[in-house]
Amino acid sequence: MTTGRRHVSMGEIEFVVTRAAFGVGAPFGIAEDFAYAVQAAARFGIDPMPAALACLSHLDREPGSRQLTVAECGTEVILSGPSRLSAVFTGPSLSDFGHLPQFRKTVIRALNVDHPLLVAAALVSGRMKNCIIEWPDAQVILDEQRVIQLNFTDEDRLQAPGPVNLKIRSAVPDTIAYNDSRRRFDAATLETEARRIACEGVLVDTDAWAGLVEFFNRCLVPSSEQSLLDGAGAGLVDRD
Amino acid sequence: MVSLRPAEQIMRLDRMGASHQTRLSFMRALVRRMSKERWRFERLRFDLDPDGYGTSIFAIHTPNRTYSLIAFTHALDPDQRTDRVIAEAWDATFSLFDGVPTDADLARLAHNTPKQEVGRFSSTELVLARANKSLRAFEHVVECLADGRQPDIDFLARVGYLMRTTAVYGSGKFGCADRGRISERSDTRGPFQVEMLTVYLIRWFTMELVEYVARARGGNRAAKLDAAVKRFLGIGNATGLGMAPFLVKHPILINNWVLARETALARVRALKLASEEQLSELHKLMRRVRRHLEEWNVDDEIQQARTSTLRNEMEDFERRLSDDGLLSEKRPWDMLYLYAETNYSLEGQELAASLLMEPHAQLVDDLAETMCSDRSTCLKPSMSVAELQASITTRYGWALMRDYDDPDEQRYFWYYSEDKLEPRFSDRFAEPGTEYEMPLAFGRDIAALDMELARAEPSSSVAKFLLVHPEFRHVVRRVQTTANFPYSEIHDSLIASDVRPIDLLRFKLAFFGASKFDPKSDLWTRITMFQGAPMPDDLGGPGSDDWFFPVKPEVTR
Repeated sequence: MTTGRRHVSMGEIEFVVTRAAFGVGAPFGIAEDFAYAVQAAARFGIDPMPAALACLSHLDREPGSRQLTVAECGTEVILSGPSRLSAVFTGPSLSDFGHLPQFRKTVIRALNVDHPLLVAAALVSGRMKNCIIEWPDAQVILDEQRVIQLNFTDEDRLQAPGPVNLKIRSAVPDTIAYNDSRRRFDAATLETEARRIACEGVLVDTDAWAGLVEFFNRCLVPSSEQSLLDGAGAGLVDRD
Repeated sequence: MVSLRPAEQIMRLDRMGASHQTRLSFMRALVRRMSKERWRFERLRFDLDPDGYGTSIFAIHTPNRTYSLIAFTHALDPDQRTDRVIAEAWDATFSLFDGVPTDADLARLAHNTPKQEVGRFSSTELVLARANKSLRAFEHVVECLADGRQPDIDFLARVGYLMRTTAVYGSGKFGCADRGRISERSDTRGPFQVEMLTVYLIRWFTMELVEYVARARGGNRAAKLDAAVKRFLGIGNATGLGMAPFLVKHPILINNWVLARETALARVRALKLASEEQLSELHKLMRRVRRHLEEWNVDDEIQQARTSTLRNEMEDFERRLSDDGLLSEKRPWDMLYLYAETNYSLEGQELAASLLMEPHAQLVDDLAETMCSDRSTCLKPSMSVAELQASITTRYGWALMRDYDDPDEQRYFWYYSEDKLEPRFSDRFAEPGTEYEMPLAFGRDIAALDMELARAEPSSSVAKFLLVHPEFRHVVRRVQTTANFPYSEIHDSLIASDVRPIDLLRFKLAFFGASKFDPKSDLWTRITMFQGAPMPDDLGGPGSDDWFFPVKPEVTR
């Protein structure tokens, strides 16, 4: 499937992924958050484009995956929907709920999520802290100092698509265990990585990127005779 | 203390469309830095055929590093010479390279730079640009120099440049480096500094090119271009709708630009005394400004009428400066500004503000360092619906007072066309594609958010509101992000039937430091950049920072 890798800039990721998500029907603000999540995942050293493409393809095929309902059951908040939940919508909503003061006393569950890693990335880009995000065979810990730790049984599981049930719980720093660490990013490491990416760009899967660009292209308005005249510079061939 | 001018006065489209360059403009800041830090310029390569087609590398050495302008010049069919984004060929194409390119870099860029948007770039490239010749001006200069004569300065003054850039892309476009690569470097951290540096180098390259072609044609008979003419000639630029999304998308950055300018003006107005020296400098400047205004002639009838009014106002302003009582006034500069505000057109008011800043380098120039921002947007999900609505009521009265059911209130929409992503601005009731409208209509969208918030439980959180209404997410983020930045919003609709996109362009271009605005329609304008700025070998000299509103030199042919 993969034919190669190419460098893209973070600016391109934001521009293309936002409009790709918008192109499959996500509202603009949700689409922006999806792009921020994809950028955050790239800073973990992961190529997030295959997951991003799969996620948008799922949303495109099943528009019902955008429907989230919330139920509060005792100390639990449960997000679910009529079909598999799209990470495009689940990530920002979980991040929002995680910022509410009552989150410290609750556990949030999201059922049947399509791409858990992108949900976790959305929580990172949403600046969540002091919480643990868990799904089968993987765990992401965000602490007070914005240290990010990814624990997983193997790397493929971390990036594997769902559906999975995902749990987020609050965790005060003392209770966070850093055993079995597989990949840990403190603030300085993340800063260094962000600088490296700014200097070098992000290496991504060529096919996945091309797929995202196809979704992006849906946002482009077909050209008409009139719209040609509505662009700057219309009607002038320079012979000055 | 003198208060800053309020946003409801300043951030209106008609006033933004009357903006002028100031000491804080980005070109001025760049030239000051180049002079102060004695940046060195070096022509590393100049492999051209007798017609001037080929490859060149022009390097600039700052105290910290080297940047290289790589230029490819091509023969161009005159029918292909257009300023539009959808153009596919140009007289010259450029990459600004971070460092000195290797042969491999050069081979890669020779393959990609001439293709512009269709090419692919890497993070060692900071800027991608292209330019077209002003064919008549370029040819005239070549012909005269080849014949051992200087060109006709009156003819050149009507154009103002020999080449005109039609796009200057930075910040990660087409694989070029993200801004993060340069945002912490002292020589490039200011807004648009690498883009301005690229344009400055293109100007230098153009002068070398025209002399080279003249020499190739005239041999030993050929003259060099008079230094005063070189300095007078700027580089042209054609700018269209692409600038508008930038202004809306970067509210904090725009706030910082305006805040710096308004702080500078307030500092000057607060001075209790005007010195003889400053007054004399301003007198000298006034004479130049008035001559510049005489030389600023364009076809656009609206701008021509405004310039004509401006000439009269500056004549009056000069008289006010000569008033014997001025020096004994308490806060003389404030008095002059308030006089302009009461009696002049918006162009006159804004030019008066720029003029008053000009002799006050020590009060103003440090503010250039405050004009960048790398702060991102924010969303506060725990805010209550009531708090959010109160914030809207307090700050967005200008948006809430409009009747968006009136078709004229949302006559237009902004979008990217499938033709090379060219930004366009069309009648929403006549053209298809509104579902892919760019999110620039924050006034309308905030009014819609306000109506929906009124139906929500006031004590509920923004998080719960957005779960039900994800379509307002970007609007909520906007309101919350801009809360502490008074100059972050344009207090007008950008989609109403009376919008002139050119006002947005003028505002941004004035911050760049452009002059000789030459609107070609409501959608685009030509301008001149770096006109009057010192050439590389003049940098650091006594007049290095003295090029506000330049005028054509006296030249003997």
